[in-house]
Amino acid sequence: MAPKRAPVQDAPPVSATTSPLLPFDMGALLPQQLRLSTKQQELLLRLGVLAMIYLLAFSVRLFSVLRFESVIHEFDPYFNYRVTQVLVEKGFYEFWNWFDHESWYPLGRIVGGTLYPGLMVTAGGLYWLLHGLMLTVNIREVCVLLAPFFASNTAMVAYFFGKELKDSSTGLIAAAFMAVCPGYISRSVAGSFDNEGVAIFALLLTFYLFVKAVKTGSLAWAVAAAFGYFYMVSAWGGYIFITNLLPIYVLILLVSGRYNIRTYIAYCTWYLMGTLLAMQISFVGFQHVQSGEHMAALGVFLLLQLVQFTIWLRSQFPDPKQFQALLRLTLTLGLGLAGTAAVVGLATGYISPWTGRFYSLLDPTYAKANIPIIASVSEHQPTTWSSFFFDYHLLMLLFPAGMYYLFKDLSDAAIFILAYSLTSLYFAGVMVRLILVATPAVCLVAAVAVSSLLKKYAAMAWEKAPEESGAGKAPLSRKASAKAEAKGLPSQNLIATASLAAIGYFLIAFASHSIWVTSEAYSSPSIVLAARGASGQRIMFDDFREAYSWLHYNTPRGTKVMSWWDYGYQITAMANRTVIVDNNTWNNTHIATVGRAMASSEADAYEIMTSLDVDYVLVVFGGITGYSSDDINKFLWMVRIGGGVYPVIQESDYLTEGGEYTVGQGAAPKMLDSLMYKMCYYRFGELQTEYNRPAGYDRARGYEIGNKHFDLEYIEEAFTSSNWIVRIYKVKPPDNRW
Amino acid sequence: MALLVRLAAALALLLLLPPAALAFNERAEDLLDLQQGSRDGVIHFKEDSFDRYVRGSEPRGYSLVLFYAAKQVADKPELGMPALRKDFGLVAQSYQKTHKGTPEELLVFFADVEFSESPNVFADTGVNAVPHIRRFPSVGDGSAGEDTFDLNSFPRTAEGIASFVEARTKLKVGEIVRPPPLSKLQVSLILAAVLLLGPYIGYKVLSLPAVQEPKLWAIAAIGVYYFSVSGGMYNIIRGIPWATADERGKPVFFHQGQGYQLGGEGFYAGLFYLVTSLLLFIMTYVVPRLKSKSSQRIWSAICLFLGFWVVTQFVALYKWKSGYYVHGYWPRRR
Repeated sequence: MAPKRAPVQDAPPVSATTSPLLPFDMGALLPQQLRLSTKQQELLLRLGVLAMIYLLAFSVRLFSVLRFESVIHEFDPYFNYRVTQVLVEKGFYEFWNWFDHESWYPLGRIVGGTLYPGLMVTAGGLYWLLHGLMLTVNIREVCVLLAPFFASNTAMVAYFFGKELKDSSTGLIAAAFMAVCPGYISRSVAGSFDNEGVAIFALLLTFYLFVKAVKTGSLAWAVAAAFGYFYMVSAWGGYIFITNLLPIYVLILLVSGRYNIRTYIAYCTWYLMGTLLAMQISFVGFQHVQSGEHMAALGVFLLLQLVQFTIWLRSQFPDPKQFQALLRLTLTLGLGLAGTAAVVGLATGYISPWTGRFYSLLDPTYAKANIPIIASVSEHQPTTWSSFFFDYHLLMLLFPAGMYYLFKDLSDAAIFILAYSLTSLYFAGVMVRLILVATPAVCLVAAVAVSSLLKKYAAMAWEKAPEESGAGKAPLSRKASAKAEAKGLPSQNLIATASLAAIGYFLIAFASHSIWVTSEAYSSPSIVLAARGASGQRIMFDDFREAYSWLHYNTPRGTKVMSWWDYGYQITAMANRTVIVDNNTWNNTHIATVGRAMASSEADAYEIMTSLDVDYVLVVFGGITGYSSDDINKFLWMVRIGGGVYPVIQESDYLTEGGEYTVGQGAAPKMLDSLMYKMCYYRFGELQTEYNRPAGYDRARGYEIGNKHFDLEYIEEAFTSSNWIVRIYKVKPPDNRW
Repeated sequence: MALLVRLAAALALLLLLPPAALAFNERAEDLLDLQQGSRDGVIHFKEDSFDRYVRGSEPRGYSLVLFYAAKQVADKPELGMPALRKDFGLVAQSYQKTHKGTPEELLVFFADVEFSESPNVFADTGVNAVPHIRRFPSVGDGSAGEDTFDLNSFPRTAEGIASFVEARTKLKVGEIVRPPPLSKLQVSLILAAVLLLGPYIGYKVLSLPAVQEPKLWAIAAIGVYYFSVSGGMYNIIRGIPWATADERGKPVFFHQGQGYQLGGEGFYAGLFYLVTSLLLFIMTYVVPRLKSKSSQRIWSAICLFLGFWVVTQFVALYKWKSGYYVHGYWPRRR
């Protein structure tokens, strides 16, 4: 392993004020007392760079705030936001015991026991801290800016990890990569108030602390790792990756003969404390001792006891032959016993077998064959090479070189980062969303490559003449020192400079790619929609918020709003009204009931709606704006899910005779009679949407609708947003009919 | 006397039954015989049997679910025909098991036809793509014409076919029983062997000197990396072919557009990563070991130039695929 801060340590001590780092003598400009030694200058530079990285990581994620405004994005973040509001308004215990009667009406939801509280508690804590400092910010601002703030912190952890891996310059590059890598930005722009935002920080922190613990064998670091793990468990279900990676790492250490008592201390402390702490999260509960996914950690824990026991035995036996016999016996017996216990546990059902989602990571064809629900979610799709390049760019090209440098100087930390990066890259290949988990590892490995290259060529390019090279500058590796006398040739300098220029060019290309990707692909809040007008100007559709605030100001509290589950979190968070179903899809029957109502005729739907006490129905419609993920395009899923529970709903009834899905000419009569169709297209037939097209031309689907003139009998139009994206209908009270 | 009474009763019965009923019962009985002789409950039809049991002039008293297959495309992975045919057999077996010995066993039959043997059946029914499953309804079960199993709206599994059959015939298919790949005894024997021998073998293997060699691990690591970032998993999960052919039959290796890739394309792209890193390796490891100074210089320059060229080529490929055009973060005036 290269010595730490090699260029500085080897600098000549006599001329401490001459700086090899800066082209001019900065010290000469300052008064005598303020002159800095080389070491101090280096520290100052490093801190300055780190501060800039910290700012960069934060500010690059602000595109969405600048372009739209400070809003929470998408769907799940709205739930997190609402829960955080409860936390800061009513306190921790109210939050922890909160029974939410405003969602899943009339069932309700036990919120405290069905979420990972880490994110909300972090946001709440920051909020209280800021208020304690007399900074009276709104909780929404805290939530919006939490992910960028944690991204900055993650970059700092990456610095320390890189320092641990090789040296501080590697750390700096790793931090810079971490700050702008699109794979991480995708989940941490301002406004995406989701678990992943804090979870990646917790993940990297846990890994860093554990590596530190393995290196030092100190209980303090191991306990810190356990607490990092606890934070991760409280924040995100992805903690299972840590639970399995750390045992794998320890196994690799064991196999490669690097195991020692420090590893034992680090792992056993982490495992015992981490497990106990993780059980405090009620959503996780006893899974650590009961579910098959956590058994690898337990198995390695038991194995380590066995290994340590044999090591102790060896020290007790003077005769190695006796010891060998005993070793064989204990090993076979111990492992056999553990295996039998696992089999018995599985067979009796005490230990639950692996869940399908976990299994599909190991055998990727499993999900496709057996669990279509998992296979159908777009985040769970396998990754193409172009997605990898989109999210990693330059890092992909540097990764193998980084692996080479790590293998050349194998340390415990290097082994860890190799195991981490390869497993996570493999999983990222199986599921697109896991690119996020692999990002820190890829940044670190690529940073090793870049820093090694930069150092090598910078040393070459700086050298002036052969006689100076021996004393003035540090040879950076053994090879370099062997060739030291050969250097100083002008063309060597030229090539070194050209190499530096090439590396610099690609690094700049990486930065501009990352920023471009952030701006174009990852900064859309999807609650405010943006489109380009005919003359290229940006048009904003703010219909969602318009409709939710209409609900908020024009309906009494406790009003029940029925919509498809996608909009449940947003309605409860923004309009503060009760919903029937939401994005926490825990009760399939309830969702199917809503799907059935949407697919039924008005009269049938009315019965369902009155039985659920529904006051308003909300639909999302893109026929005028061309917004394609609207309810008409989701309608077949409502039919399928509804039909899954209520066989009266048959998918084929909603398709044309040719099996096509359409709402235009020749659409199925049931389709045209369904509540969904009527709510979306009520009075749409009177409207001309596009020049040169007949009235009732649907721009999202690109044809004229099938039934233009109809009246509503059981519901009445209450509100339609300015671009018709959200339409709200009031369910008429029964005494209105006669 | 007793004989006479019996005869009279039989006659009366015969007279009571409509003659057509006899005819289609007879055909159903024949199908039942054929079915018992079949391997997995699916009767193999040829042109003459199709004419007799489906196209015959008398009305049918049974539904017939027909699987259209073609040998020449059976091995195309994207069609998934063998798997679908196997699941079709499972549906047939579970239907027959559920209704064994009841009158319902004469109501639905499962059959398949092969394109090379009976092209006329395909032409006659207008089927020009396989796999294709069609039901020929019985008379009087309420459903109108023939209907097709829509491969896009039903899952392509035994359960999907069963729900299709159930929806159209209003008869229960019953639970689909898939034969486990290993019997219980085999499983327990294997488990016992693994439990006893596994630790021992594992210990032996791991203490081999070759396993302790970092170079071997490095090569394996590069393999894992190459496979992952080339989208190898994508190819496996989606069953993506190495290359496709265009309309003139020329092989196509690259797909334009993000979100889809061909097998060869991903590994080609992954190769660029490896080549770039290999050049870096040569520059930092091999070149400094060269004896002559001038060759050091020349090789450095070559590697540098090649590296630059490789990366620009790769970015060009990516630009072509994704239509990506990056610009700096200063907003451009439009």
